[in-house]
Amino acid sequence: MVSIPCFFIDKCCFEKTMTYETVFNQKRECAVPKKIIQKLNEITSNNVSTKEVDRVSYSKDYMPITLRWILDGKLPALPDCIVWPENTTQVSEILKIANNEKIPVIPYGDGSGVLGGSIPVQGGMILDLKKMDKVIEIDDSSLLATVQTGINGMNFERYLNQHSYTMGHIPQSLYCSSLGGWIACKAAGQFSTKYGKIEDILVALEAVLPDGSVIRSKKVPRSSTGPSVERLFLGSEGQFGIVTEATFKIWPYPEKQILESYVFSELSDALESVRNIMRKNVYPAVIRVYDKNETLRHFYDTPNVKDKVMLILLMEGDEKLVELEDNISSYICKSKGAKSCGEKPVKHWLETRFNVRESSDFTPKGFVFDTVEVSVSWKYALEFYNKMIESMREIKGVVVASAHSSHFYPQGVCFYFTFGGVPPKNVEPFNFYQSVWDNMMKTCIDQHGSISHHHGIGLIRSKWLSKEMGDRFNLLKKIKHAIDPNNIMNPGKMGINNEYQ
Amino acid sequence: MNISKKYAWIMDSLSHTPFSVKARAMKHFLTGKKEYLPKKNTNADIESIVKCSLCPNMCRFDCPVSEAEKNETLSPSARARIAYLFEMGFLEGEVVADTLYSCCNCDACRQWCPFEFSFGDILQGVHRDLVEENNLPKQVFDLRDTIEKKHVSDDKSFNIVGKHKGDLLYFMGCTVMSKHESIAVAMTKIMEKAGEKWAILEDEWCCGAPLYNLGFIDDFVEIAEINLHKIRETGCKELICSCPTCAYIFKEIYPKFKLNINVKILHATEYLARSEKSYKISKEFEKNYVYHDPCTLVRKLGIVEQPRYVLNNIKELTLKESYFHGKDTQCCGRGGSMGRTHPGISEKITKKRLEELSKYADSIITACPTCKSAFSDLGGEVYDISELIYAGCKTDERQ
Ligand SMILES: Cc1cc2nc3c(=O)[nH]c(=O)nc-3n(C[C@H](O)[C@H](O)[C@H](O)COP(=O)(O)OP(=O)(O)OC[C@H]3O[C@@H](n4cnc5c(N)ncnc54)[C@H](O)[C@@H]3O)c2cc1C
Ligand code: SF4
Ligand code: SF4
Repeated sequence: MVSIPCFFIDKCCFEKTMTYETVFNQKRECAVPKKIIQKLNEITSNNVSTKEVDRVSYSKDYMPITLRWILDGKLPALPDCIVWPENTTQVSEILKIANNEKIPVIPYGDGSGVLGGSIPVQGGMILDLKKMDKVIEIDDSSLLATVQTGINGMNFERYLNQHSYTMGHIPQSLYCSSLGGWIACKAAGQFSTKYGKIEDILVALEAVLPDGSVIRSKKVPRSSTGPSVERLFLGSEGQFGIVTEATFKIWPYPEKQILESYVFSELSDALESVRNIMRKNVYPAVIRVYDKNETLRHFYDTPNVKDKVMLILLMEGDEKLVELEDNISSYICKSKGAKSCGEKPVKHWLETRFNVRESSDFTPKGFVFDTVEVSVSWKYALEFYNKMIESMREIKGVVVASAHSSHFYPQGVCFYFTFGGVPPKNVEPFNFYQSVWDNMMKTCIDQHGSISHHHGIGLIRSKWLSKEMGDRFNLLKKIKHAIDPNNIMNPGKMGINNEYQ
Repeated sequence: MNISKKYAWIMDSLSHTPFSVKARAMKHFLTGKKEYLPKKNTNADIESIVKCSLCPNMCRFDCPVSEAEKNETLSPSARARIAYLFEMGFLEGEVVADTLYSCCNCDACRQWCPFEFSFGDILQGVHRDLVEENNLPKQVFDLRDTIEKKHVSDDKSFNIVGKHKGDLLYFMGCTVMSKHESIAVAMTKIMEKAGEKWAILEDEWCCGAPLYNLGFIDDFVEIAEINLHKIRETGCKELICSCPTCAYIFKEIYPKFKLNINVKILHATEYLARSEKSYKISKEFEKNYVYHDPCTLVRKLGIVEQPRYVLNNIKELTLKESYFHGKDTQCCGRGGSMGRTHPGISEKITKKRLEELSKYADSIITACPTCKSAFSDLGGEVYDISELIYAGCKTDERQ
């Protein structure tokens, strides 16, 4: 058995964070024996790296605190090697070796996960899926697309657009995330109210289990054939194996779009309007409600938005249908005292929605921040929002505490909170970060919410998953143990094996 | 824009914050980033590198190098992170140089970047620091040595007979001089036909672009000064380049070193669009053609319409557009001297673009000799726009 350096676990995995000096001066060697590397090279036609520069590149994902660490001279972790398979057979052969040798395997898409899901906390092998990027089939009559999961989201969407389709799954990370990552993190896109979240769009998949066996589900719209076991991979975050191929719903490119926006005096009125729109079974593709602070932040160019709440709507599809959706939503919003602001704010959102610059602007100034997306039913929504904002502000050092909502259901809503601030004197940035997270997670559970709507668990939420799931957590652990008895798949995450508790 | 409006949300946030936190936040806001900068002086633009290394890689999907290799290390943000670690002294030049020279300087990243960064341009300063460490990949040194010895980046393969003084100076560029006599012939004949007083340098040297990009600034300045002198001696009023990179470097980079050519610099497509009335196309073009926009031409020089104007005026020609055209074009693989420094990556990029273009037509038209070389070396049928025009002129007009 290979002894894998365990850099990162214990009570709090981040306490043992390595500095650049320790890593680079000690020239930490790859712990995977040469003969295994040689076998991996044979399987993949030499698509393996143990180079220092590659190991550094794969030491992190996009978990915000690791951005601060770049500047503080700290590395979150270090993998031993990186392997790039090109097809399912290669993935299967690689997993067989890893399973025999008990080497940790960390699936890696585009590394845009924000919870540390692809950080190699116990070293081991990064399995980068980016070379698995082939579009396998477009079935026009059934509106299905089958594709290898390592493909980048924007490259797949552009492929579909070229052929006059869309998948309708447009997360803000479209440009920097992979389809496999979407399934593994149970992602949600900006147009989700109409097209659904990834679980609504996914029809079938192929996956490789830790012992190298391959499972495939059928490309059928539905079946009543026992539990859909393959759906365990939705939100699995690399715990059960590798999703290698997937079949998704696609749509003809929409004929018409209508853009409309409204301002409300209070958040409660805006939420109430959306709730009523949903109750009418009307599904605009995009619905976004911004609290007063975020309205100021994003729509400062719109007149008279101070102390107001902005709602933007984008309806798309068949011309008659979207006109009807516009009429119904307009009537509902106006009856709640809303004032129309027209297309401009929606256009502004469309133009700026991928301009992610805050992390680059604020991290070097010493600010620590994150976003926390959670869900709650309508019954508790408003109280929930207020308590969550309070929970952020309770932590000394927090300056920004705000939220918007962009995923709605007739039953409830996802709130997307942002916190940002400066750690107080003598408080480690990570401890400050962790305190805000802890307070928010506790409040969320107390206030009837679910701790994640679409980013997943990864490292930072792992200690909260057992509380979230209650008795179901034991079942999850049993399933994990049955599928992956050697715990090679992405160990140290989701609290499944008690690390980082 | 009204700055106070832009930051109103921060003021609103601060209004909910206790005084001690507010004061600390303001202090960080004003002085924060100094802690994260290297102590030594660098040529690199560290603030941009830091921003880029903290970005979620929003341009990665369109970066040809990143897409060809599928290695996180070669994604723009990861390269920025590696550049930062090098500039801070954590990683040695030897470990990082190969990675940091892997860039086509194609500006695809700038299309999507919230800061409008051209990552290739950002790397230029890092290359200067790597040169100072003298620890570079062999291919980089080799290219510099070739230019130093031969004054061109490749062997000259032909001579064009022409005057050395005149109003219009035609600057062929290294790739034309070594591989594409037909482009030089086409351009000079078209100018001749238009009755121009054209000239050509007696001994044309490299414009210096590879030296500049690779970070050999002293060598670049030396060659640029000589070029300036040679160009001035011709007494030209306009300088016409077949290569977009030559045009760009003369126009935008020479002046940064106070080397002002002080004549109008045109790319060949601008000249061809302007002199469209002086040549008449009579040949029927039987094949379909697709136009490939060279990265430097569209993104650094902003020339999108002129070649289309020229080509659409040829009634006998069926022109197709690729899905990735105009500013959304994709690199031919040879930008940033990648054909010389990283032939493996370069070829993968060329292959991908060639496959894409082949979906639309049998033959490719482009307006950059380097793009032409890249595609034709992999078996593509490809014409420079000037060659096509010259070929389309009546036989008697071609005399
Ligand atoms: C700027 C920005 C905006 C974002 N916006 C959104 C948004 O709008 N909606 C949203 O839902 N998320 C969003 N995210 C979060 C993130 O993009 C998603 O979680 C995305 O799904 C991750 O994909 P990835 O390919 O980058 O995965 P990675 O970060 O590489 O991996 C994420 C997890 O999935 C596992 N994994 C990856 N591929 C596979 C596979 N093929 N098989 C098994 N396991 C795998 C990894 O091991 C890891 O645990 C955003 C992130 C950023 C940085
Ligand atoms: S200039 Fe081109 S090759 Fe270089 S980082 Fe940008 S997109 Fe990639
Ligand atoms: S070039 Fe711009 S978009 Fe690309 S990684 Fe850097 S900052 Fe991000």
